Amino acid sequence: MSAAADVLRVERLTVEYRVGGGALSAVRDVTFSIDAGEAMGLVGESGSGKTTLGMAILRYLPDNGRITQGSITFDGTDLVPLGRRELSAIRGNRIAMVYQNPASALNPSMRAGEQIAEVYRAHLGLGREEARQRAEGMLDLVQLPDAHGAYDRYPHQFSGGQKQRIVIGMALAMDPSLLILDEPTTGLDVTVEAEIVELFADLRSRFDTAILFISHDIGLVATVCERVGVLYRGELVETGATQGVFERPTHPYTRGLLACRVPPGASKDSRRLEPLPAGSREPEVDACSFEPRCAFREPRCRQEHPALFASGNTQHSRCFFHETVAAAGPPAVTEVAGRTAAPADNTLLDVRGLRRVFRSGGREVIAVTDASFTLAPGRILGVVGESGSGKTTLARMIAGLEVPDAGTVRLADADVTRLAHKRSVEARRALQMVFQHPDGTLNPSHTIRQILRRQMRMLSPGDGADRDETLATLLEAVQLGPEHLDVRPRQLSGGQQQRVAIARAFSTSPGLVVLDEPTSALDVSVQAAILNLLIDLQQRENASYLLISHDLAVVRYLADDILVMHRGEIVEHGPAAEVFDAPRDPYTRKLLSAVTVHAGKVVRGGPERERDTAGGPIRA
Amino acid sequence: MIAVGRSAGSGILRYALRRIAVMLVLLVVVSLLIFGMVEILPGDVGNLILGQYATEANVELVRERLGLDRALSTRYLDWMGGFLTGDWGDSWRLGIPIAPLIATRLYNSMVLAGVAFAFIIPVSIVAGVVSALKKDRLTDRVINGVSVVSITIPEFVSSMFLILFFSLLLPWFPSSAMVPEGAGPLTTLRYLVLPIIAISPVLIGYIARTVRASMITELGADYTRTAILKGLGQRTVIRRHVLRNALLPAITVIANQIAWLVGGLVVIENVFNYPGIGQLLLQAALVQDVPLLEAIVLILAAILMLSNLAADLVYTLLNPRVRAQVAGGAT
Amino acid sequence: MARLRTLLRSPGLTLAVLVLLGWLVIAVLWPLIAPYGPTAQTLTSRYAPPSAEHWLGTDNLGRDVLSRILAGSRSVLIVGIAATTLGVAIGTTLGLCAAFYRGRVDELLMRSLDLLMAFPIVVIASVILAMLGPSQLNLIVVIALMLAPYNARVVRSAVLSWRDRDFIAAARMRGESGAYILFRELLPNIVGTINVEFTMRLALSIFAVATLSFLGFGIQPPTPDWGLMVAEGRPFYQIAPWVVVAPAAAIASLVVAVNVLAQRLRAS
Repeated sequence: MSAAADVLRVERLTVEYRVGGGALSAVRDVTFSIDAGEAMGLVGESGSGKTTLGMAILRYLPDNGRITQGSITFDGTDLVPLGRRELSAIRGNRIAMVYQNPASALNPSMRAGEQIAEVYRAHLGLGREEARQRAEGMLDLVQLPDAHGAYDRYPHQFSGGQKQRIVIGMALAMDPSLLILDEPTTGLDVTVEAEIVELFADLRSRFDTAILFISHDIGLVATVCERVGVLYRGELVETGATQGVFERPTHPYTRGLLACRVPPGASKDSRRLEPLPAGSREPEVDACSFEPRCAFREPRCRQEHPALFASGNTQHSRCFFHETVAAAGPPAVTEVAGRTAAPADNTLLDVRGLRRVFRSGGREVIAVTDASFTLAPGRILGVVGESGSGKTTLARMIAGLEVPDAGTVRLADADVTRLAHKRSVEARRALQMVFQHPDGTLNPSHTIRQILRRQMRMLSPGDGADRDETLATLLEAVQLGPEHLDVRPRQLSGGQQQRVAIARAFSTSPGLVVLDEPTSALDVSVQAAILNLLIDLQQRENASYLLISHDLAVVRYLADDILVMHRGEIVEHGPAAEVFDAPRDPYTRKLLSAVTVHAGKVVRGGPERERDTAGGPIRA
Repeated sequence: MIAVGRSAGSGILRYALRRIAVMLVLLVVVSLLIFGMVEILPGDVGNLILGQYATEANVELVRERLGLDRALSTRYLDWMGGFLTGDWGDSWRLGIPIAPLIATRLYNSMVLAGVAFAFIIPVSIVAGVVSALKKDRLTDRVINGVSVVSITIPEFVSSMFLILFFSLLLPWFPSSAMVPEGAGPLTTLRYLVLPIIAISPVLIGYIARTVRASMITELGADYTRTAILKGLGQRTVIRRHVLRNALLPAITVIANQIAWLVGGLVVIENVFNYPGIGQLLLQAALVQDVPLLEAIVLILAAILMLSNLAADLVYTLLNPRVRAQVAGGAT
Repeated sequence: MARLRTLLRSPGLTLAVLVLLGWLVIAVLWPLIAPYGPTAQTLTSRYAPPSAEHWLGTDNLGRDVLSRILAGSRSVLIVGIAATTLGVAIGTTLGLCAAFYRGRVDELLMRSLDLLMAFPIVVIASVILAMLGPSQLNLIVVIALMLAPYNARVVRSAVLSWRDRDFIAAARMRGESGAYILFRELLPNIVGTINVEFTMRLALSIFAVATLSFLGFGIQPPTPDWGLMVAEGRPFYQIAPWVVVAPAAAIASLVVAVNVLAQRLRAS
């Protein structure tokens, strides 16, 4: 990797934000480089500074952001001192960017094709006709059917995946030397995601573009990139060839991150997840920023700031004890003594023929058709599907937040096919729900104490006497303390808010808890802890779960049985192992094969690598 | 499928027709309200016309002559019937036919309003756009400060100050806007300057603020970021991407402001003695000249509803997403 | 308290608050401050320019302008505050109901309010007051009814933005009644909006009171009222401009002060 072949060389980059009265470093002293045609991934959770880094390279920071140190050398030129005009010449032309949320990335009142054409007009000075032709060529290249017709359509007439293709088309229009992608597939359905990853592979074989792929999903990064860098709190803590970092992490954070992913194919009955301990601290100049959470820490870590040490063939790690980490290998898997699930013969929840139709502006959308299934006490039923599958509507009907247009819901042999506030107190006590977004799940103007007490008062009015005691026990069960009682939700982190929501749901020992994407909005490292919590609580209370999720790995891990939904219908229903190992429905098969993009099996493409399909052996 | 095909075009047409039908129904409702409001309320017509010292018998006679002893519903139908056929009756106070009176006054007001808008719209849009582009800097703060003050000061107050400074102390403009007969456009303008300056601040303030807010939203939108990162120059980004989306909502606001303008006209025409419909409305209201009052309010209602409808349709036509929804048969 | 302190850090805002408080104090205490009775005529010194005896001069009937200004503050503020309170109360209730019950109720309510809002306040108010007869009470009611729709819209959209949050769903799931959700779950989160709304409507209310009084639909002479004073002084504007300028300036000061306060509240 000679310096001459570098397309991008970032050296000692530091980016600060002026916040309140002081300065916040979002990116600290980051150094890395990317060769021509190479794909490098940047992995980090929220607060790692990965998005800031991507924006900084394009010199597109908000008003209060500044590059205070370092250089960004692109094709020999340092981008940091450049003025607006010079940057305009480079952006979209030699460096391009694709980021999250394709729906809002496109101008809703401009035709799709024109948004690509204007790149040609701006950088090549082409006339209308010529620009249009080339734009149509680009639309073709990103595999949009009917490129000519697509040119004239408006963004809202395309699906999410198609919109992202258009955005990719815009980015690659000028055949840039460097393409930066920031969470390009987050928010897309997994089957669409898989298609986009295929598209990348195809495009990489045609264009010689270097890629910087920023994501929170280490599995996805591994699928797409040859090299990877791990960011923690603005610092690069590990870099190296993807395979190396994956198989032999040399930094405790990387190791922990890899370990707390839900292992594909694993289930709760055989092993436990290893969460990263919580614990954040403001980064200090003369200490390791990961130290409070580190299993390998020594006194030295609190006295000196580690540099990047060479820790392998191509790897570097910002840890004094990287050799120990490397030698330690993956964390020991806590085997769970062959747990068996509760028997499936009793019936707690009986759903028959549920149907829900939405009418909007004269058109009918069938959200759920004829859903029927049963759930036994103490068992976990996972419902998977993509957007539009109807899984959320199904959950809401069972929870009593919506009324079905047809069908019945029976809970413990009582008919509860009505809205929650019309159900009996016993029914409400027996069925509770945990929602997706931690920041909307608690009333911001109430304290935690008020929230939990109200829940208990409404559903178990009798036991007023020892309520305070119950509160303390409840918080303990979700690993929070009494100091959290009299605060407002905004003073808690996302993970903590979700724990309170779980405490609220469990406060009355419900028989059935509906969980709607309970960890989707949380960081990976927090997710593992919450999943463990959910498993423990389920065991203790012998509750049943109806778990809605788009994340197949999580569902595979938690669920005893699985329902697969597609366009409102249940297309597959069976024990988890069966559905995952031997799916019968073609849609399920498609879903399962798409999910492997997160598994880190190689589908890379690229000029010097051989392409490989998901699941095959890795060749270099 | 996009393209303004026949089916899309007819969808929009059907939408427009449906809205017009709704508007007509609403107009009928409004006419009922107006009629009811005015007719049911107290006020003695007889004394109004004949004066305070009229005898009981004469007052009764007048009421009979005017048909006020008939049932309410008969009177309403009579009134509406007459209205639709062009016979708007006579003013009680002035004794002359209403229709030509309103026509002249309405024309005058529209001249004033037209010139005012010709001034207001460009100024407020430019002010809004500029203050958004220079957000939080001096220009923005100044414009913001001025608009905060100007929005709230009642028109008659600002009129008084304008007259004080530019008519009494500095004799630049006449304090009465009664344009003499046969005056040329430049002279007419001179007479209209003060009223227009008096009525503008409120409208400019509202429109500029809305435009500013809308611009700021669009400037911060993701697609604006995309455009910048595509390497388009700042001017191009603003011109081709931001303005289009930011100014669209301004159309609706401007239509709303027509209502404000009408209200302002009532005051301004009064202060500057301008023979427009606002002044006529005021005079009719002060003496409870019922037929005149009803006619004016109904005409104003129709104008306001029409302008709102027109703005709505223009917005629908210009906004591709809404247009597609509408053409596809959605409400 | 801390918020109050930070708010006061800006000189413009401090000035506005002082002006507003000043007028409020004057409205209450004017009988103790005014040098003359507001309706006391001294026909020997009519149209007198500002002097040591009459700081703001006298009007066409020899009445002391300053005293009339001080006395007139009461009616503007009473009507303004009463109309706003009534209007916000009605509007908030309508907005809450519309947002909470959705469906037909919402549609009906919003369409009617839209209709009402399409008309200029001054026009409708003039017509109604013309028929009902001018009086302070009528003024309050009419202005309140004109303000309510704007308020209802704002409250409605505030509630709608909170309505779909998960904590509301959680409340439903434990069987809370509609009233509880509306008042104990939703309302505390929009109190701030309502405060801002109140101040903004107050500015509008005073605007309307002054204008309608000027046009002749408000308080009748000889009671002092700023709008009325401007109207009365107009015929002799050239001879005695202070008769018009003083009340006009008073109106301007009050209205701007309230609006500055409203804008600052909204921004925070």
